[in-house]
Amino acid sequence: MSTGVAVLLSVRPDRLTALREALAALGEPEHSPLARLGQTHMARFVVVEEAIRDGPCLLFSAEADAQASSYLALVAERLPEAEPVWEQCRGYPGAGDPASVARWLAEHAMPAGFSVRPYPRSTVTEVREALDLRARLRDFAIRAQDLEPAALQRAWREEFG
Amino acid sequence: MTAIDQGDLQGNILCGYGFEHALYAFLQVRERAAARGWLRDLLPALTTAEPWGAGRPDSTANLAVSARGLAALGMDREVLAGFPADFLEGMASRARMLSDTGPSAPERWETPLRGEAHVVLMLNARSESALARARDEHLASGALELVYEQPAAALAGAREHFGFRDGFAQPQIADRRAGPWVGSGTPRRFGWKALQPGEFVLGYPDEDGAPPAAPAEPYGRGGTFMVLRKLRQDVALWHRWMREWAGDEREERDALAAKIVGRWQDGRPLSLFPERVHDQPSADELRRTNRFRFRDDPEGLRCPLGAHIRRVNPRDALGGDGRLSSRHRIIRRGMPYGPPADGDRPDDEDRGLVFVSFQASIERQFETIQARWCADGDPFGLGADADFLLADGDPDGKMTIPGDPPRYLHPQPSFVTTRGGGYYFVPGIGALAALAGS
Repeated sequence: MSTGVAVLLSVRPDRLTALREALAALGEPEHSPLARLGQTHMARFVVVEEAIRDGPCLLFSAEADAQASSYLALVAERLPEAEPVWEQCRGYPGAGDPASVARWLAEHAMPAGFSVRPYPRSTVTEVREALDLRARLRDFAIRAQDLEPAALQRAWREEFG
Repeated sequence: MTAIDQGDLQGNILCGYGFEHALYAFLQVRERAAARGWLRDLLPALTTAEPWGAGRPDSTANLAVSARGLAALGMDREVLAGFPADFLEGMASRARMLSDTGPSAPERWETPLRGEAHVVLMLNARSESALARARDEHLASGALELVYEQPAAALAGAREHFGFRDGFAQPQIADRRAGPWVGSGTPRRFGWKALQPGEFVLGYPDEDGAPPAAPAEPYGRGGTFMVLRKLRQDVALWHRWMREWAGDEREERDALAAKIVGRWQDGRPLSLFPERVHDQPSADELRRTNRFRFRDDPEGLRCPLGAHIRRVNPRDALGGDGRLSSRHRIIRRGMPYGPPADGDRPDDEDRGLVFVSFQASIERQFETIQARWCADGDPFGLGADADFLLADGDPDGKMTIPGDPPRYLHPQPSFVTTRGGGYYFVPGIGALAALAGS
């Protein structure tokens, strides 16, 4: 069962532009470093300019196959690309000490009130495996559509046997 | 029922002109005062939605303006900011979402069609000579710079270049004074419900019961948004591909093409006519045969789940009668361009469709159809399968024709390529007068 994670950080004064640049530097969604963390179903950064706080905020939210604290520890440890993003936020303990970063993120975490999950009973790994299997079946169906029964059986056994 | 003010709405939106010749002239404002003067002079010549009665004109003139065009004509910045983001951003900047990539990517579009022109003057006429006269009349002054011209002309039998009868299936709209309709509204368990006019005209109630989001007055009433796309069709490839997959028998090739489109070439839908009927349907028959549903064919055995017409108007295929598709309808007024092809004989002619659609919200209507329903198969349980008719070539692309056994079409060829386009606003006459400073 995945968990909803939400962290709200205050952006340091005059760092809004730097924050936007750091977010843009994370690259295209298809190649997001967050995808590398095998437990991320989805994740997003949102710059909240008009929060009821003293200045703009950064909202980081995710749906992950882990408890919030474990997932944030993973983010702190295995996501060096996000360091330029965290740097623009107040209280960032600095790179080089993932445990402190994880604690800092956890301190700013909020309980997710309600999450809608696309795959409530499947982990990211299981979803990927299912998609891979579908692609294999699809490729097989295309490749084998004109085969005679005996050849079709042989091909099936070779592919999936 | 609120009646639409037909004198304020531009023509060819709620009811098609039915002319066979058209010209889309793309214009840039170089000098604001001159452009506004040209617009003031043009105003009395613009064709409204008022019925013609017996006096059908030789030609018509209509105008659409892009976000840059509104700014160039001097629209107040704050008023302009009240227009929706899709329109302000323009088509090219949303190309990825629209799946305009690869050969259809904006960097490969025809240069003048790469970003929205300031103004598109749309002329329709009953003959080529009437079109030429209208062109001279409205463009001779040179007040705006003419950057591109796209002529278009109907093909015999109201067909598009692949040979399919096109343009007759339109949403039915609840307005007593508009019409007559050749089309269908939203299917219910029994009967059909006409769509509220606000789905297509700003300032009138839409399917949600209130007028749609709109810019400030006077621009928020009597206007609509227009999507224009130049879509090149590779007719030689289409015929060659059909021959490769279905053989030399004409009947077999036509049946395969019908599965991709969801209709026979004569316009009859597979949902009602799984087998080919050889006589040509009358206009009246086409109107009646347009009232079909998909829910009685949940596996797509008659009309494949991924067929073109099942994607662009899923009717009740998504469940809930037609309620899940009723907010995503468009009015289409496109017209073919380029000479008809000589069978599958390859030539270098540029031919295709000038796709034109009208809607109250580009994002909710056109973009949902294009990005969610045509470029993706997920809403129909088809994974990543895209519309086999429209999608760009893709070595992994396929279409499934359900049956026992099913047939898999693969890989995805590039029958249709986007050559350019833009998002435009078609203001009401009163709004245009304000824009012209009159």
